[in-house]
Amino acid sequence: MFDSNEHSLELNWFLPTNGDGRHLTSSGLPKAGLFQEGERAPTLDYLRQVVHAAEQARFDAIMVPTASGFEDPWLVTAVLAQEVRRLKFLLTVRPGLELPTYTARRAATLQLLSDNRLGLHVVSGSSRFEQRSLGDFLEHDDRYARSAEFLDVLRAAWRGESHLHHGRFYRGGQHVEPQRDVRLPPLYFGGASTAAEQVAASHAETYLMWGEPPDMVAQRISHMKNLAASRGRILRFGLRLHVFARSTSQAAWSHVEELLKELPRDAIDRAQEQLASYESVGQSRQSELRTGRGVGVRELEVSPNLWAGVGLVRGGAGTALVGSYQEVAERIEEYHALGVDSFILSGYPHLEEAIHLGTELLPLLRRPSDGVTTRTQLSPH
Amino acid sequence: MALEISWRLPASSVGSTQAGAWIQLALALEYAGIEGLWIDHGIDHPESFAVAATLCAHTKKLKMTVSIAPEVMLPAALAATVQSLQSISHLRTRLHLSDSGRNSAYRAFGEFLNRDQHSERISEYLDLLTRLLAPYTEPFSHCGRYFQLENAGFASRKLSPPPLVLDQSQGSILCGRHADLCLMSPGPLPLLQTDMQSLRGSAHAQGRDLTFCCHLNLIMADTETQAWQLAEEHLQETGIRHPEPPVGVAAIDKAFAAIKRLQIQPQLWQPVTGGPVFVVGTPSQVAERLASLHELGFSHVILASDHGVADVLRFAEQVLPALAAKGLRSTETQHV
Repeated sequence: MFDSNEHSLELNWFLPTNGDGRHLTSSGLPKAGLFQEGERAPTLDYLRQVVHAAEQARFDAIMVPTASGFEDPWLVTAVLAQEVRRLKFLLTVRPGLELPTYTARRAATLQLLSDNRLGLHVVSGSSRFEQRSLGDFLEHDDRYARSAEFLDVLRAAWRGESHLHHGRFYRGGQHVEPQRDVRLPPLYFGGASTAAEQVAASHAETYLMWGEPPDMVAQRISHMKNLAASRGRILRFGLRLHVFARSTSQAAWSHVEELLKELPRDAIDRAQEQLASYESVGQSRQSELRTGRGVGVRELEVSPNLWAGVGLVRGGAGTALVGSYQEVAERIEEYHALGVDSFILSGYPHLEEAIHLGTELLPLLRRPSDGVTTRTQLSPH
Repeated sequence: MALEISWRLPASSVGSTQAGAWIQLALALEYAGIEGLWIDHGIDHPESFAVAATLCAHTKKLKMTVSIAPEVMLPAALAATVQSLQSISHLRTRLHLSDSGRNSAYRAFGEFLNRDQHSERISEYLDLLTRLLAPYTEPFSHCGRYFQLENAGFASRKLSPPPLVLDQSQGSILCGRHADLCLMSPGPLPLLQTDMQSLRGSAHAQGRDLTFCCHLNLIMADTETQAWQLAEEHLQETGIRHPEPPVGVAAIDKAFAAIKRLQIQPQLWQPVTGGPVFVVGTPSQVAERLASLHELGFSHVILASDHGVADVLRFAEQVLPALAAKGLRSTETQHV
């Protein structure tokens, strides 16, 4: 975790390194090839503005994703960390493409260059198609076994002990001096399968989930807490969500209704076909939220203010909080009360929405005791 | 053909002030009209890609040669990273795939192959990498001895590939087939010329062109005596045993006669056999020596010095004009 107080509310933003726009299909995967008009390429000049907006909005960190065709998260982070002073970077890493001792060196270098503002988000897999195009042919459960070993070696490298490691996937080499000048980045870990849960319980610091209704999130937290406790560990929890917030509930819902209307039916079918190829339990859980539901805007409200419409065309995090600023803030507080301390939020487009939510939503969630200036203090009116 | 100059980023003594020093050096190079920055990799170095990307944020023209050992990343992952750096840097990237057979770092990164396997692997690696970096590559599958790929390059971008630098030790076949630039040691002379000929021949056989670069450590002072004094100090600091002075030299020459014995050519000094080569002398001697290396066939020299920014500016003010006068540098690139 980035914060020293483990239960304070951490609010993070998302960097659209695969492009951005106003539509549900504008960011993330798969690219359905729609709405080219008005879409924004992920140029540095654009991403630079997003991190400035996120810093101004007083988000704690920004998640930097990875996938084929995205700008390299390490390079983007190295460049953008120079742009802002306070914002932290939660960089997505895929074990399996590089050696963990090299990752340790990259992380140490970025910690040095960013003054310890780096966090690592470890993702063990995506689609089989994408994995294999990069030369990674391990199957699902083995990928998690490798992730566990990867994190072992990464930590060992930090202690100067990686040369002692002799495992199934990695063998230590020459002794490398321990890292004394920079901190090991906090480790976030995602994955909803049994294999992922086991590794998260033994290796993660913060366990990330995609947005699900509060009762489902509560069950997972309780399950994961027990699993971690059986290993003598304590986990922290994070939730990845999109946000469509407006001054009134009605305005927010009519906005997402518009977004839904512009989706051609075949875009949904094509996206769903592609998502079905992801060997991801988390992905299936996101899809199952819509089981038995139509595609009417309120039919996709799977629990109060939680909307599953994003997942019709977007892989990964497929749910959004929709409602008035007050409602969205209340839902976030509700998850926080269940034990979720870290939120990674997105809005379309990410530049304008970082500014918008920074003005309207974040002040409702930040308290003076968080060490963050609230809006009322900034502009009393 | 002009002589291109790069500066070598000093190995890190890690600490939070280091990042500021890298930025300072990059700014000085760009200001001084020196084209390139060479960023090494290895266990004593910061990670080269992160440093290059950071310095791209502070510079506009400086070309970044990024060194990496091919053991640390799968070829398709490296291709994606390199394309990303090309895009972020606006095509200012040059890639040096170092021959880690000679570099202790690869052991730190967990590879255990014998020499033959190592060179077989690098050959397969380079074939895949160059294919993936080609701007109009079609997705392909590959099943080799060391690497396997399916639909590789499906997401690759239409960007011109960065020039590739290989070490001479990687052999004339690999250099000829893949390298744009070959990194060689600047001496001894007769052997150097034969090697260059054979490397060039190998490239021509593939319908390619190959140019050459070398590393040089710079020891420069106002007078030659002062420069050799600095060389002497360097010898003492690094604890290299002082060679015995030759018998029968006049007392007046004795002062530096001993260390001058380590010269492999006039002004080119190699205190340890096979180790780094230094150019020692006054600015005009340095310019002379660089000009003669250029004449030999080096189109690009990568300089290093102990006094980063001070030496960069001094070099730009006192050596670059002399090189320009010899027609080896365009005067327009001088900013100082």
